[in-house]
Amino acid sequence: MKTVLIIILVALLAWKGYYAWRRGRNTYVRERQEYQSLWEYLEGNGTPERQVRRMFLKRALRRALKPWLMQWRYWLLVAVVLLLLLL
Amino acid sequence: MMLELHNVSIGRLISSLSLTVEDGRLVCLTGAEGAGKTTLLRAVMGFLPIDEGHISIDGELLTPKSAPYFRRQMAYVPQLLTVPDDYPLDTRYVSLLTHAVESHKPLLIVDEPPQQLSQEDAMLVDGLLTEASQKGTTILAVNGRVQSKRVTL
Repeated sequence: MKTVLIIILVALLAWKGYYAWRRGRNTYVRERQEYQSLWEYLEGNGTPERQVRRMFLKRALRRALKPWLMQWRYWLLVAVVLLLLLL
Repeated sequence: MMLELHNVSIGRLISSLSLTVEDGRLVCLTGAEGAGKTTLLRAVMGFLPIDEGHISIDGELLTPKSAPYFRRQMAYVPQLLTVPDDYPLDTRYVSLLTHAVESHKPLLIVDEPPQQLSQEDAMLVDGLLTEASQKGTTILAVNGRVQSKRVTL
C-alpha cells in the first residue's frame, strides 16, 4: 500500500514537473520569436549570447510558472510532505 | 575601426558587393524598400550568414566565432525594436540612437526607422550621426539625408 502511494505521488510530481517544464519551454520559444529584435539588439550592443539567453529563460520561466505555482502550490506542498513522510 | 566587405553575396538581394568604411568615416546606405539594406547590416552584425565573399573588421575576418567579440565593440540601432511591456527600455528610434552614440563604441551600425521621421527628429538623427563621425566613430548607416559617402543597393 505504501509503495503504491509513493508511486502515485512520484508520478503526480513528475507529471506536474513535466507540464511546468513544457509550459516554460513553450513560453521561451514564443517569446524568443516575438522579441527577436530585442535579442538582436542586446547581442548587437555587446551583451554575451549566454547572458541574453539566461535573461529570456528566466523571464519565460517566471511568466509561465508563476500563475501555475500559485494555483497548485498547496497540492504540491501536500504531495511533497506526504512523500517525505512515506519515505 | 575599419569595416570591409569583399564581394559579399546574400541570397538574391545582395550580389558581389564590395564596400569599405574607413576608420572614423560615415558611409550611408540607400536604396528602395526591400533592396537589402537591413539584410546587409544584419550580416555585418554577424546575425546572418553570407553566401559568398567575406566581411572583415580591422583586417580580422567576421565569422560566427569572432562575431561576439566584434559585437562588443559595436553599437547597433535596429530598424524596429519590440520589447515586452514591463521591459525598462525606451524603444524610440531617436533614444536608441542617442544611447548608441553615447556608448562611445568605435563602430556604429544604424538602420533606418520603419516610419518616416518628423523633420525635427530627422535633423536630430543626422546631427547625431555627423557628430559621432566627427569624433572618430566609424559608422555604417541607412540614411539618405546626411552628406557622406553613399552606397546604393
